[in-house]
Amino acid sequence: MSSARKIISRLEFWGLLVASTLLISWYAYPQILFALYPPYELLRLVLPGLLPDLALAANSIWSLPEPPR
Amino acid sequence: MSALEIALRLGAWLICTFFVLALAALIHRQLPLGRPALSAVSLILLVIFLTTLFVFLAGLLGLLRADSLAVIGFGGLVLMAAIPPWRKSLQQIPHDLSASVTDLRRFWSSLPRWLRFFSVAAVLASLLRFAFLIWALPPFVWDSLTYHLTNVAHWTQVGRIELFDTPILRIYTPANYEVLATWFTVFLHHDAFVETAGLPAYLLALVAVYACARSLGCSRPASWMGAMAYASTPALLLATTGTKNDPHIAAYYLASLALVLDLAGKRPPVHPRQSLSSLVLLSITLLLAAGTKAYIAHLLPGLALTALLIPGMRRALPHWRARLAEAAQGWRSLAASTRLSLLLLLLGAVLLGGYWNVRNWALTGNPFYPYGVTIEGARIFTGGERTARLNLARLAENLESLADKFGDAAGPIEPDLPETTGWGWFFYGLGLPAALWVGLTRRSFLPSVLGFLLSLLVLMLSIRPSPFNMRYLLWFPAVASLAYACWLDDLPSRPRVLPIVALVAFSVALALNLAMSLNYSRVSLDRFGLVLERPLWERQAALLKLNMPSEYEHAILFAPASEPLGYNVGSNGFIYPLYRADLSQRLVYVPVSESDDCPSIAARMRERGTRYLFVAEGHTPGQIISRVRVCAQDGGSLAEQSRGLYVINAGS
Repeated sequence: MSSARKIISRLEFWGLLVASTLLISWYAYPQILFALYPPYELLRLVLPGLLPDLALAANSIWSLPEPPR
Repeated sequence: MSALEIALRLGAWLICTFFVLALAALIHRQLPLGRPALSAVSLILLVIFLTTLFVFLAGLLGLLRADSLAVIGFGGLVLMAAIPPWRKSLQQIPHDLSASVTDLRRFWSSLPRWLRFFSVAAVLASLLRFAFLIWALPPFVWDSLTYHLTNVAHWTQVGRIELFDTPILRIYTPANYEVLATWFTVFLHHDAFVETAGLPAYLLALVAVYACARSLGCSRPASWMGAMAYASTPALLLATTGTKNDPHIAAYYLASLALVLDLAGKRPPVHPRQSLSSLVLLSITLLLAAGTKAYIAHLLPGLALTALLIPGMRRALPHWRARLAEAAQGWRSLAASTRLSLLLLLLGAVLLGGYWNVRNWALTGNPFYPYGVTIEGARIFTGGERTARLNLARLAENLESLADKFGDAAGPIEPDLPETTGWGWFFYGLGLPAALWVGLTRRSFLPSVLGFLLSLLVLMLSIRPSPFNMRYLLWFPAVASLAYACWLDDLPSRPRVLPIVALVAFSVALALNLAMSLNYSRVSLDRFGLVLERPLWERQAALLKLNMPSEYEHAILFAPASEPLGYNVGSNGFIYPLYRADLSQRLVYVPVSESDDCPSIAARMRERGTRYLFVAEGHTPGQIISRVRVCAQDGGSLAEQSRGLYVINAGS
């Protein structure tokens, strides 16, 4: 690979990394909560009594339509 | 069910599985493709197709019983062993297996060490997740409980594929998925493993994405990472065990794309048998899809565009003419017996692809019943309770709705995908920028991007705008996975931080995708606990109170399983939970209108051979529930046995 192509591919990489970071930050709320909640529940199962039940708080941050369609 | 009965039923299942696998191996040998990844696509596809065809033919003949199927399967195995060329071909299976193991070893040794560890962890985690969810939970996704599994339960119960009297007219729609799902209920006469019916499609989609990436020139490790990324898509993960047919359509679309990319990218000299095999498999895939869900037709323009753009628009016609000529040459080179077996195979595909629509046409005058069809205001087919529309206004409305759902900000990703795309962390974080970049900078990838986009646009011309319609787009995130695979190969290896950052981001995105789908984003720990308290054989869909009114639980607890149970629900109500997990409850539909008087409701119940009538809030029209309640007051024709369950009054 020529040095020019190497530079371009590095720029490409960093450009994509910046784009990825921006997109992930945009996607992260509220999905990060939904992604971490199931493993948290599993942890509560493994360590009973140690961690608080967040079900009410989790349910309060969204209200989606229910079928029927 | 006694242990002996379970053992006998499992034995019947095993015999039939051997029969289908042996048949698939025989046909697979006749359809060489010359590339291990495509060969794997072909084998999985043939197993799905032959299983569906086997159940379908047995169902039409009224032989859908474990014992009858075992006799057919055993007879088929004996026949294969008795015919010398088939026996010889069967004897080659160990050799084929050993060749496959060599290919797998080559694939495995091509992966860097970290990717091997990651792959083992990802595969184990996925297997555990699938196994646990299938084992723990009964079916609970809306459309399954209205019509997909209602078909499965009825066919399993009566031992025949047939129509039946029900207010849910969507039982008329193409039902190859339901036929395949019946394979998972008919042997045990139970729904304990019916959620497994999506797994073959999941596997096919995974391998098809890998094969597509290889056709696009990606290395083995990059292609595998792309395939794993697609397989982690939350919408796909949730639908796979959600007893719905959309993962199958996604898998058939991607398998077709893998075959098209291979055929379109071939350069002479091409072995005639390979072109023939690809075209035969492409026909089978598309026909199987046509008999699964009609919207595959809307995805075809995108596939056709990719097929035309890859060889180049000017060269497309001679390119495809050459492929067809090779296929014809390949056909002429076959022995007469091989030609006959391939013809029978294609006949089976035509049957599975066309049966449902031809049946509907013959019975109702509309092949797409219960959907009337309107194109830009012109009524093409009338009849049915719903209308499938194809127009530009709908496209605009659907694109606007997609824009609202884009980014999944509305809430958690659940199986019905309410107001969300379900495409997950990898798609938005890594796949989307990679797709934009690779689509714009690499000419070889552009035809695939344009093909995916055209499929999306044509689909959006017709699907009904709804908060729940993203399930039709399960195949779409594959374009981002393929782009990422292409981009990975160009990733500079120095400085070391570059690949490390990329691979950490990949691993985190996949882990988050898997984490958010662990419990369907719906089932709480308490709910799991309640279900798991019951033995596997008693985990009833009616008792899983996620979206189930308490009337269903009452019906299971208080209606006698030995007597037919009458029911009245609307056109989108649940029927399936009433069958019970062992599919033992006989059901009859009792039509009731709000103008019916109480004696005529009771008389209609008697006419239909039942003493019981089930109704449920949210599933039965409100005025009918009120009518029935009135009949149960003051010693009328009916008595309320428990919530939602009415019985003919002994004195009436």
